[in-house]
Amino acid sequence: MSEVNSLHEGASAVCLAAVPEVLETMFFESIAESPDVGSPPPSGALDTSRVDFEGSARGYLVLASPSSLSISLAEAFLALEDQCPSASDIEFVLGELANMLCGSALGRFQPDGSFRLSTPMTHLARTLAEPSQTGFDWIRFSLDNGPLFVGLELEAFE
Amino acid sequence: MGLLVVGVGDCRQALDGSDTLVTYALGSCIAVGIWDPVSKVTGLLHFMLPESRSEIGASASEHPYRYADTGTPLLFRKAYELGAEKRRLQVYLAGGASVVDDGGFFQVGKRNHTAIRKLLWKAGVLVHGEDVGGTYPRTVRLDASSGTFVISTPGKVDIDLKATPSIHGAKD
Amino acid sequence: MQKDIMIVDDSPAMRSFIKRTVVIGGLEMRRCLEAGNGEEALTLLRNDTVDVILTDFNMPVMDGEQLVQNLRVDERLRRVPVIVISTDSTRKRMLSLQSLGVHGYLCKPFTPERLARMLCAAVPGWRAREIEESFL
Repeated sequence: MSEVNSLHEGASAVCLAAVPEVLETMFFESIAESPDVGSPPPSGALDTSRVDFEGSARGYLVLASPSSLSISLAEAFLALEDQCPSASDIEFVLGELANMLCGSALGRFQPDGSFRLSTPMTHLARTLAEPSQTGFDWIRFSLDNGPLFVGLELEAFE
Repeated sequence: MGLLVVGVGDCRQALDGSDTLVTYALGSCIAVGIWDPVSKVTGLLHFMLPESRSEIGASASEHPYRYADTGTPLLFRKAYELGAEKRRLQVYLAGGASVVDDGGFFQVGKRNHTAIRKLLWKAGVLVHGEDVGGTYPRTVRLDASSGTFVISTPGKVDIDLKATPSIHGAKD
Repeated sequence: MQKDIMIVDDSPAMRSFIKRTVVIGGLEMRRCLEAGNGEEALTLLRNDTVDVILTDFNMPVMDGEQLVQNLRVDERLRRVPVIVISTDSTRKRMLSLQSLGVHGYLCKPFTPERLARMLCAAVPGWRAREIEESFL
């Protein structure tokens, strides 16, 4: 097995473990079906958030979410009942989700490692450039309120 | 002093401050117990599924206690009508196990748990104790006079979540 | 007994989550000071103090570790309990914070109940109002 394949499998494995835990614990969202590895997001406008990291390994985590799911996640996290989350609310909640997913995945990947995470970069209603052409495997998580796509790129170890 | 049985997809309040509410054979279902230490208002809900929209055929209005989203507000509303105050309520959860026959619902026990936690978070209520997850059945007894919430499982020591108000179970 | 708390996090969403936990946990809060990074926190605390500080670790301008280091050398603030909240669950991070004497370390994701319990433990005498038992 090549080193690249091994990294891909490792990245997928930690995402498969981290994503449900983060979503269920603080975003009160459940996985509705078995996750689908190697399933990139569709073309079209999606909300995205990306966190870069360096340290024991270098790379980034990115997530993509349809607007309806982003709204649902923000409503849950912020406990909004009768009001819609603002665009700013959604940006910060998605950024926090990406931040937690990244930290949780890296902590599983290298428990003895040391990492520095960037501030999340979040964009609403953005068309991803060639989502099927990334160097990592996207994972589709089917949630009760829509699909969440997560990708973890591990570029190098130090 | 009565023993009031709460069935599957059912909800009851203690009629008397000396009653005990009991529900049996919690698998993937979740029991939600609430107790007001001042008024002694006590209620127990045993729900099966997270959302009423998942029901095909019969309407949620006919069986509201089967679902977290319809049963939970009714549990709390009835408690308030009987004199409970939200800020005093102690809330306990039990169940949500992984079961072999999930009726076609993916990880229904876990989804039930997430659903009730979301409802409570949005309603502004924290959980005082819970014993959820695993693969074993549970029986719950909630005592109206003392508020003890005892969980029994075959082959295991009973857990009283009121005495040890922390989180037990397969996930914490 | 009412307490003053400070929440330090560059995410307004996270600050909102924490604040809500305190409120619905029945922990009586007189004041809640908020800061987006360690430097802002120290500015607010220049002529003030609080009963507990909850701080994120990764923040721009001044991170949580630097904030704690600054608090520890300030005679007036060094005894304020600090709870660090972070996504970093690596052993190195936990050990480094332990050596700084933080009162608690909460790894994301966490349940609001866990945060409420940690706050009760960190702040002596801060019990949930009108409830016979606290969360502990």
